Amino acid sequence: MNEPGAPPDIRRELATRRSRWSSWAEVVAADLGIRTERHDPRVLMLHAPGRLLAFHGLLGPSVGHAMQLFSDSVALTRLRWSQVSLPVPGYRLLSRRDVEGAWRAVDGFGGTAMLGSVVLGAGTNHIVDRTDEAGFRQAWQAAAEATGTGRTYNRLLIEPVPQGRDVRVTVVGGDVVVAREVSPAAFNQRAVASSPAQPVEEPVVLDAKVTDLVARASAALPQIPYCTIHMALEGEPSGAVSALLRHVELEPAVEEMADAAVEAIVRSVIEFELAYEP
Amino acid sequence: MILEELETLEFARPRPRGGRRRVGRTLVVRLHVSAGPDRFIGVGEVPASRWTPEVRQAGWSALDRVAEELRRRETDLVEAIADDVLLRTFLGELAAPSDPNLVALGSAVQTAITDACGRALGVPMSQILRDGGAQPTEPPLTAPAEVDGRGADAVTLVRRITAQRSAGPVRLRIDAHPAVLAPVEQAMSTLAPGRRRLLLRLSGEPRESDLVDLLRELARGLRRGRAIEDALVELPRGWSSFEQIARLQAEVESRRSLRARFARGTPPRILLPGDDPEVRRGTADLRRVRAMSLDPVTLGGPLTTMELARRAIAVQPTLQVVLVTSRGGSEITAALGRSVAAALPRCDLLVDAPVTKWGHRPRAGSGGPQGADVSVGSEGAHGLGTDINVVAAAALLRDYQRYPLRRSDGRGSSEGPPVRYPRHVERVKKWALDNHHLEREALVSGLRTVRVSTQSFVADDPASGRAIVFDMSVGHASSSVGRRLTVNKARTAELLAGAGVPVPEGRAFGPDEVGAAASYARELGFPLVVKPTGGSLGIGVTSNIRDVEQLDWALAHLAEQRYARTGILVERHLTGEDYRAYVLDGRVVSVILRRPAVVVGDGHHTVEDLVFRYNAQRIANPYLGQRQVTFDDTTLAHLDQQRLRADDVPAPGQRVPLRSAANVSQGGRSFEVLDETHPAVLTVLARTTAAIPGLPTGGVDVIMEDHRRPPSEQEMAVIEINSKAELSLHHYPTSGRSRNVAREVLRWYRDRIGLPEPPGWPSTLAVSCQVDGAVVGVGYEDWLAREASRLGVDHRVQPRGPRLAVELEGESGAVAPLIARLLEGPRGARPVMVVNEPDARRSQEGAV
Repeated sequence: MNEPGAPPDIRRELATRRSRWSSWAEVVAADLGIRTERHDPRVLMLHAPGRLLAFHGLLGPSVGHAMQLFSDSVALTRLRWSQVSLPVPGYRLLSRRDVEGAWRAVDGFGGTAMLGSVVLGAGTNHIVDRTDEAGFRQAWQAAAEATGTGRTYNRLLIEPVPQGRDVRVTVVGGDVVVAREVSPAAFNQRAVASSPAQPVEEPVVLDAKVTDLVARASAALPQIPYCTIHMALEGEPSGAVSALLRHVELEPAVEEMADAAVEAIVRSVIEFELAYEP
Repeated sequence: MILEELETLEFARPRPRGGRRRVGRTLVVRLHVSAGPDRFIGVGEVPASRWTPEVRQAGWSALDRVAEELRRRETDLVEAIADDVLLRTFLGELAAPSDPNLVALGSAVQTAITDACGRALGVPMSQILRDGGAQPTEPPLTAPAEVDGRGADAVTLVRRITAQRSAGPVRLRIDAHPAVLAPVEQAMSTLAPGRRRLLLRLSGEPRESDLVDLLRELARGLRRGRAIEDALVELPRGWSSFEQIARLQAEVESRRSLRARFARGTPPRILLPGDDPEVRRGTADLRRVRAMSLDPVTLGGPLTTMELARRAIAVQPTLQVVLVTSRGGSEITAALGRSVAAALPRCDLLVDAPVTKWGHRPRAGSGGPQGADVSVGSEGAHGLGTDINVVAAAALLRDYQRYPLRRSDGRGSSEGPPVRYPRHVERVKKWALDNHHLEREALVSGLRTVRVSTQSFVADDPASGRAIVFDMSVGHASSSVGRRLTVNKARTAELLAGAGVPVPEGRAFGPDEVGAAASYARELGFPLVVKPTGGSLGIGVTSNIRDVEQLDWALAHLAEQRYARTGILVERHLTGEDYRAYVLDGRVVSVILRRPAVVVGDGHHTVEDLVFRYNAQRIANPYLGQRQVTFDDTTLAHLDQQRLRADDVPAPGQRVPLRSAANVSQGGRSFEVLDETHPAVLTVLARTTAAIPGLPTGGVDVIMEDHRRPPSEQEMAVIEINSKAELSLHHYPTSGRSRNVAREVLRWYRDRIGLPEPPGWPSTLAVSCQVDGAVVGVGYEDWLAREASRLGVDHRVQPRGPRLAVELEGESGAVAPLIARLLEGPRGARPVMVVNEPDARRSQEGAV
């Protein structure tokens, strides 16, 4: 239990990724004068005036548990966005056992394609081409092992090799809170690279078109009022030539994110939840 | 001895080597007979090879007739058994139907009656079958060694034949051509003298001249007597009629040159199947044949087989008799073959088909009844000498019928008769049933659905782009944190108490604080409940703990359970009934009264048999059928507390509780009681989900004495909230009104995302589906055609590039289960995504 005005020392807890979001929520709540209570490293209760709020990590009561489906399935998210006419890359979804179908599908993307798990973060993406069947099969095997055997997510995705910048935008209640560019882009890192470059995150400013696109993409996913959307952006962020929506995360990874960005996101989320009426 | 009752148990037969898919079905007939105060059971079987779809279709009505006849007659079988002719006449007309397809069914009835008689009289079945003073056939009857020699050269044949360890003859399957005999002779010559007996199974489509040449060549070999000492021949299909066999046998023996030589030996003998119509009609001149095969199942039963064998041997005293058992049978069919073989006036060979196991032996030390589903009794056993471990077999029970239908005993009338439901959803997986119901409602309300897994889908309105997401039974409005909070029962109780909802007194402890939990329990006082802090399905829950000994057992039992690491919750045990209410945004849409599994003694059935009946009656319920009582540690402990064992016979009217937890997943019963629940109770229940942040829907577990009385007049407490509550519990109660909770949920979600109430909820559905993945050229279309035909759904399939476009139309209750399975497909197909778009113009308005 933490009373307002006595912010906890979060440095020790920040060492564990598991509790970092709720630790930051504890700090922000103290700053906002809200009493907090914790029973679990991931669950934080906020006793706001006249309101009891609970957070599981970054996720408050307004985020549906079933929405995890979207963050877990790249294909489902893209299908949903394409149903409401938002731009997404072309892709083929395949069973992890359908290696022959995948080999044929590479042709459909001009002989070179990227394959990876349907679950974001389950494995590194692999770039494959028709001139190297052995390499393709090796990549497929690695991706299939990474994606697992569960009924839902035992699928692999093949898509054209993405072009442009890897930009991630965190939206809360339809407003862009944080926009970052990850460099080098994570989506086309070769799995076989012996010494992958350490990614660097830089804040970016988006132009109005991209901001509007992100807001529409967020609104298309029901009951996800805040999330982080991954995009492939061509041109400068402030004057993008084109943008493709790639994926959505409910709780973005925090390891490389600057403290200021984390705090901004947490503060926006708490303020959103305080104002949220189911 | 009076025939009381006839039961049929149909089992799905698992694929050999433990495969998950099931092939074939076996029908077991069980007869209950009474002899004074004693009761006996007799069993018979229609093996899978004879229980074909055609027979099955006609079989049920035939059994109806047999059951009716059994009930009408009150022949005392104890007297009848003393008069062999009377019994045989009675059974013959009763159990040998005129339809040849149903002969195997008659055999099962005949076997069951004879078995019951044997058990009642305390003698083996062979003794009943044998004529009074006749001696049994000389044992042992060694089964032949099966060898497939088709297409094999001499070296391979030698290897295959010498690899056989059986001391019996070699049953060799070869193509019917004279040239094959040379390598056969060469191979047989490698066996020790005395073992060179051959049972030749000929296959292929030979000409008569080839067959004659082959048989003559075989005769020459026999005359030489070096490689083959004795030969029986089974002709290929199409050559098995009496006339053909008699002609060929005569042809082999007619050659003058051979006849003289055979004066020193025996010619090859061609086997005449005993079920040949000529033989059955008794018009054949059996002196023209040398050998006959008898299969009791195809001949109408053990008594019919004995009759035929006696008649044939009387006509042809040198006739060789081969007893064959049908394939696809269990130990019952095998035991029948052995009993008949032992009773026959002569039996030269027993060709015993492999025994099919219905289930697997329980692991050693698992605590349940040991042994396979059907086991052979001890030496000198009565009747067939087989026992069916019905509890072990119950998991594989496909269908169950009991004649005459059970009469109501007048007790527990409020529970009402069991409700029977359509079987359309029987192939929807247990874990996908709730999600299937929700998708059906989404489709009939005009929403498009997208599936990437069997347990979740997205439904959207194409016009507005608004969407609903369901993961299992949970919609998108239920938050992640809400679910997380309800996983912890102690935390849930705190939140509920804070909202003024009554909860039981108790405390949570860590998984390693067993000592502290025990101390607190003693302070709190008995009776108590011990359960895991997390977990579901009643796993690890022990209620009504009344003393320290039971407390120690409960804590030790919990430590072994799946959710033991979530912690220990000790609560005061409340006296009352167990209820589950489904609460939807402050509104109670269904209340289920749950009662623990219990059986009531009738004075002559064992606990095991009563449990089997209890389980069998749940089969017709799509939800309860997959949630049965098993003889695990918990059940055995309950029986032990009552000083009972599984094979004890409870007194008439004695109630035998099998569990303390009322969860349906643990075999409990469910009764829908919303309409009679007191409004004040509903008010308390409606407040529950609002106490949990971000949880608009959930299943609320509550204990109270009587749902018809207000909370102020009784003890009442909410013990748990389930964020992932099952909807099917409310759709398929044991008795009471079926509540379409899925429709209520869907309606609420439509309203929440701003979609108007649909103009109707059609009873028929037309849907265009697009199936993506590896589905073309892998048998998907054939599979779909079979499934659609089975469900009575009109369908059209068309490949569109790598996808399949499927049109389905029919009753919504039949179309939706098929849609739910599109993402499964047949073995070999790899569907990855299905998009279903209902066609509102073709879907008709129908009754809600």
